Amino acid sequence: MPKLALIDAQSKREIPELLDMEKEFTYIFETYYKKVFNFVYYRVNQYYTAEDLTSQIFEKVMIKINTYDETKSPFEVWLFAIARNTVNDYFRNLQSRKFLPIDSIKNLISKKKTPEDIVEIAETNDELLKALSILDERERSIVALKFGAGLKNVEISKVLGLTENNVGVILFRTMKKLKKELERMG
Amino acid sequence: MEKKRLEDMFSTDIDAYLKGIKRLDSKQSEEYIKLLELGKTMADKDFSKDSDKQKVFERVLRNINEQKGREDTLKKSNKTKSIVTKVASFALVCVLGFSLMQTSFAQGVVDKIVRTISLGHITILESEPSDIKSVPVPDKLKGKIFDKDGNPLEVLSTEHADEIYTVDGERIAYIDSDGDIVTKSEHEKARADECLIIKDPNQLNNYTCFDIKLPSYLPEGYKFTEAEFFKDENGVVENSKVVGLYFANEETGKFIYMQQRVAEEDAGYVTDAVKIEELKINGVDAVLYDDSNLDWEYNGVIYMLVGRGEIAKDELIKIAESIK
Repeated sequence: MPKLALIDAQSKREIPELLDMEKEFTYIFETYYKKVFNFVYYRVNQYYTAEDLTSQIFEKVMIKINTYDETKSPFEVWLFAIARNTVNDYFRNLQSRKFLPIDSIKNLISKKKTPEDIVEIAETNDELLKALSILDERERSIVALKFGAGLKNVEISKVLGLTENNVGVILFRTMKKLKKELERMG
Repeated sequence: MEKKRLEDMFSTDIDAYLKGIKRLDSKQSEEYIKLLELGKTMADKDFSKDSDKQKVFERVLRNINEQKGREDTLKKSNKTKSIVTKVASFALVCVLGFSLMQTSFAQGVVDKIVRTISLGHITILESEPSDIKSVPVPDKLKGKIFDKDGNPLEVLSTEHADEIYTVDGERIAYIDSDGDIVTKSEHEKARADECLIIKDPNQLNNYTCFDIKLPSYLPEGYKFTEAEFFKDENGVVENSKVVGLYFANEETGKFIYMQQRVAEEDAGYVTDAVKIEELKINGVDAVLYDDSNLDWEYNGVIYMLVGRGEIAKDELIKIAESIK
């Protein structure tokens, strides 16, 4: 169980040597990268943003790791609560800033990937991702926590502050909504 | 009852699938089986495969090491640390959307930082100037964007970034992060839905949890035109932590934008610039970047003045100094 290993790693952190911190980070990163990334991607649907937010999430996790209390919640619940807040902050910030008019595009230009590459990546999985856009924040969070993070309903309920039963009901309803939308899109 | 049972069963089936356990889908309705299939497809998606895991790893490692260093210093001086959220860097530079702004972060900020200036919650990174002044129009936008004379654009350049039009000649306000075009009128409509606009400068302080301060000096011809507040989930504005202020010159149609926001963890941001200059505004540290943006933090509020390249540097400073 990853959880046990983590607690192990933590209890050894009496003297937080940099190397230990790096080891611990590597461990957490390797264990959760896929889940965190997929969770974020289910929310934002963009590779660059997802990479950026994923790195922010791991940063916060590592900075706050000493405040994690295993008696209060499972590690995954704690981690995905941070993940969800980070994504929500991102949307909030975007909302309060997106009205800035075009300033200039200087220094916004990639030296490696061409815009076409990016579009191409962005358009994979198009249909499902388009269908996701009809969901509200809560529905989308549940989808992301379920299928991206692979959490159980009881864990999702703790991250979102809902009852476990409620999560199951919303998940099922959301799936029906998605299926209908996908059929509508043809 | 039946419905409730289905919902529970669905979660159980999906959880089993996620764990790699195969369950027999016995005599379920076709609808249910299809939903389960969709769920399995979604559970099988692994977007992370196409991401740059190594880059993310290195970035986090570098940042936590830096953070650790900073934290140690802060601990010594007995101050509380502030974690900077980087999100906002996208925003300032807005808006050529997904084709450009993410790459700005990925390439511009991370790879070639010359130096960093931090003011409380704000961090500005100076990066090497990019010698590329234009990019090809992404496929998604090909044939959809035009210059003011109606010629289709093949290339986006710094010169006409401001003036792009739809096929019908409608001015494009910006291209959102999905690469979708948002015209000026759509933008205005969305703004009306999402924002509360107040035109009376005396009423501004009814909506925020901090004191909004207007500049007493503005360049000739410019006047305060309006303030925008962002509505919460319930569509109301109450104790808002942020305000956007517009000062326009009616004759020329040009305007200055300013944002004031409460300086707290969530409000912090990192942005990048080609040229940064440190200076003092009324005795407080400030950063002028790219000669057109001036940011400072005073008394728990972050001030961000955006001259949009249309206001001279000394004018920006004068405006800033008149905010007291």
